[in-house]
Amino acid sequence: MTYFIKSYGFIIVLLPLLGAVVNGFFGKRLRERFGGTASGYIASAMVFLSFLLSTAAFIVVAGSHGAAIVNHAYTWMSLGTLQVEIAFLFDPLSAMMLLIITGIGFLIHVYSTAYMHGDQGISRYFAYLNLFVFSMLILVLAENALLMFVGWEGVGLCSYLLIGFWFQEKQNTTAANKAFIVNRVGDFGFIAGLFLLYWFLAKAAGPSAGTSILSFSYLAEHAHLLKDATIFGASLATVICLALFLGATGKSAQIPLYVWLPDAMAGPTPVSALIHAATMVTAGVYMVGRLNFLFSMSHTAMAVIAVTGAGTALLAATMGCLQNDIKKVLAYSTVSQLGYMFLAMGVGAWSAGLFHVMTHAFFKACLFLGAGSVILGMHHEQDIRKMGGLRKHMPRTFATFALATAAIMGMPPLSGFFSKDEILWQAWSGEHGHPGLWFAGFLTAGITAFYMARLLFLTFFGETRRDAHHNHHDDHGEHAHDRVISESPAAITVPLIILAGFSAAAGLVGVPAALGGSNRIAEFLAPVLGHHGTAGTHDPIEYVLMAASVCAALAGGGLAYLFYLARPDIPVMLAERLGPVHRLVYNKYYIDEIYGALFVTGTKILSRVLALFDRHVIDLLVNVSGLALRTQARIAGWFDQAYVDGAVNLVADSTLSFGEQVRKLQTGRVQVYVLVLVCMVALGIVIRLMTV
Amino acid sequence: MELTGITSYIIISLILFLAGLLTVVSKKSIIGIFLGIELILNSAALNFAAFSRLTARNLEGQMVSMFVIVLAAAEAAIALALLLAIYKRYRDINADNLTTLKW
Repeated sequence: MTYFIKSYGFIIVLLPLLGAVVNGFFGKRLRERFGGTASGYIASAMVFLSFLLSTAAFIVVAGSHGAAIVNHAYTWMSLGTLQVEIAFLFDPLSAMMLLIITGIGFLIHVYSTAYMHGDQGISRYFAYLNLFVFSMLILVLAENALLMFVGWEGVGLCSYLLIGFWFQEKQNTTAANKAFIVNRVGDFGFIAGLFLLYWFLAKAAGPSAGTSILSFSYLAEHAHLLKDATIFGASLATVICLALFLGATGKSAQIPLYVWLPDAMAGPTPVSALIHAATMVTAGVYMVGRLNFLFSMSHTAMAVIAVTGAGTALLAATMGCLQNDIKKVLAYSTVSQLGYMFLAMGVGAWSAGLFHVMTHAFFKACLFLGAGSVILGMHHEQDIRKMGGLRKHMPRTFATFALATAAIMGMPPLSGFFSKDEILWQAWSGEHGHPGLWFAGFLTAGITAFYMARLLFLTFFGETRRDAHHNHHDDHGEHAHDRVISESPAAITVPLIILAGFSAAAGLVGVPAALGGSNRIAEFLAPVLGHHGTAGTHDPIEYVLMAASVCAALAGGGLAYLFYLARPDIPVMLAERLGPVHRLVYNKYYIDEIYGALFVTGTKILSRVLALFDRHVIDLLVNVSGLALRTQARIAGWFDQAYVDGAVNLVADSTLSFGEQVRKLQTGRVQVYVLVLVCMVALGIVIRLMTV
Repeated sequence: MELTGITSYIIISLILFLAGLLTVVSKKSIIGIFLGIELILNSAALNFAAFSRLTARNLEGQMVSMFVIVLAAAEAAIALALLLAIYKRYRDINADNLTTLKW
């Protein structure tokens, strides 16, 4: 089986591409021939096959004790000293990501067959979804940084396509553009980091550098060369790491580039679950984890990452508290949880961060799909103020949603508890840790519990409020509330149940030593990420911190219960009492507006200035040169007519007049011709005889 | 000059040729021109036969003179046909008046 992965591992990647090609190019014909459901079945089957192979790969990797398996599929380019291979790296880290992507991806494909049922663009939808899985697999399996960048761009593209999937509405396309443009800023950082890395390593190693400078194994081996290098007076390692981290902030929605993710909720809900919660947004975390040897060389960069992560976690959590759109709440929660992951990365707790990537993938996918089920049940109503009481109507959705909510709140022994506490403990005690970082994480845990509980209570508990507020934000007309709220079909609830099961149990692979476990996921990832030294320690503070964060979660949940179930008048009163603060948070600190004023308006002003420059300077130059050319052409034309044409005509005329003269020789009398002929022959003979 | 052997034949042939040429150039009637051409052909045939008999000492030249006679007969037939056609068209067989070859 090892041999199979080593030789044919690329099939895992190609299967979703095949699905994308089939759905993309033959989607219309498929629909005519087999009906609208065929696209979904094909797409799901491709991802399922890929999932099976991924499982096989995972087993192989788990059995090989951390030895990486590389599948060289194809030499992409060979440019002198730089050779870039399309090669796929199977090691514990990528194997784990593989399972997450294909496993959750498959569940979301199945879910989509029901959610997108009857949509006009269903084959386009599944083509994009498969293309996304393909890109994401390229990203995590890439054996060199350049191929990783291909996947990196690919997921950005697919995200753009899927956010703007319903492109008939302007706000969706605007959101798609925003996501794409914000991501471009990050991508710039990523590629700049790669350039710096290649430039320096190629220079440092000289002619003996070999041809695979950008492959991860080479980078890991030669990263120490960066140690004392500087560029413009700054440490080169720090500059590279910060550039790469800028890429990560774009893809993983961190300060300052998180603004696209909440808007990305314009896409279909399964897309939000797959791309904007479970997989694509973790690409930044994965990249940092993959290049951990690089980041651990720069304390400055690590500190920046940790502070950014903690700040994002806290900021996004507070924003989530006052959102009224069910998907927006989850979007801010995603940003906040990603902040946690970067906090872990910043304190050097690589495996804790990736552990949280995994658990978050499960419970956030479950939450988003649950939200999708609710939206479907409510006939495309997304405002939680108009929900309530759904517990009775949608029992399965409720149960899974509640379980996932408890998991994200960090209730023991659900998955979120273990991963979050691992991060908090590392933030406190880790090599780069700091109590301040811990406190930010701790506070975030409490706020997260508050807004998630708020979401749960407002959506599923209490009485239905469907009639209220129907004047504003009513996109489906007055008759919407006549329809019955009913549980979603099995294609939706079964993935929910599976994901809820994993949300509950996935934490068990990372039970810390303090609770009698052995943190097996950290052990498993150690060949890639290295050990970080907490194994076997029994610091009493760890128990205190655990208890503290559980208390924070309970307090947050309790507060939400008080505010939104027991005494609904309190939040209204508080909002009035704290008017300015409430408005500030409700409007998300006006950050979108500030960005709009600074960057969008700035860009517009710049473009206007450039347009003026264009019109008055460039156009002037163009016009002047045009005029000069025209004058020159007129002179050339006159010369042409007068001299060149004259010469040609002269030749023709002289030939004609010569012919006029010569034709008189032709008398038409046969006998004259004969006579001339004879005379000429005689003359020829005479000349011949005379010259002999 | 001793008029024996090949020389006498050549002289006769030359006389025939010149007589033919003179006829071709000077006669107004196309029929006359044809007669001249026949004379020229016969002078050539005579030459062939004489050289074949007296110098080459084989039969090839005599063969050729046979061909020339046949050719002359064929040519005369075609020429007379042409002549009739020309006469029908122009009502004239005076070579000086038939100058339509000139443009």
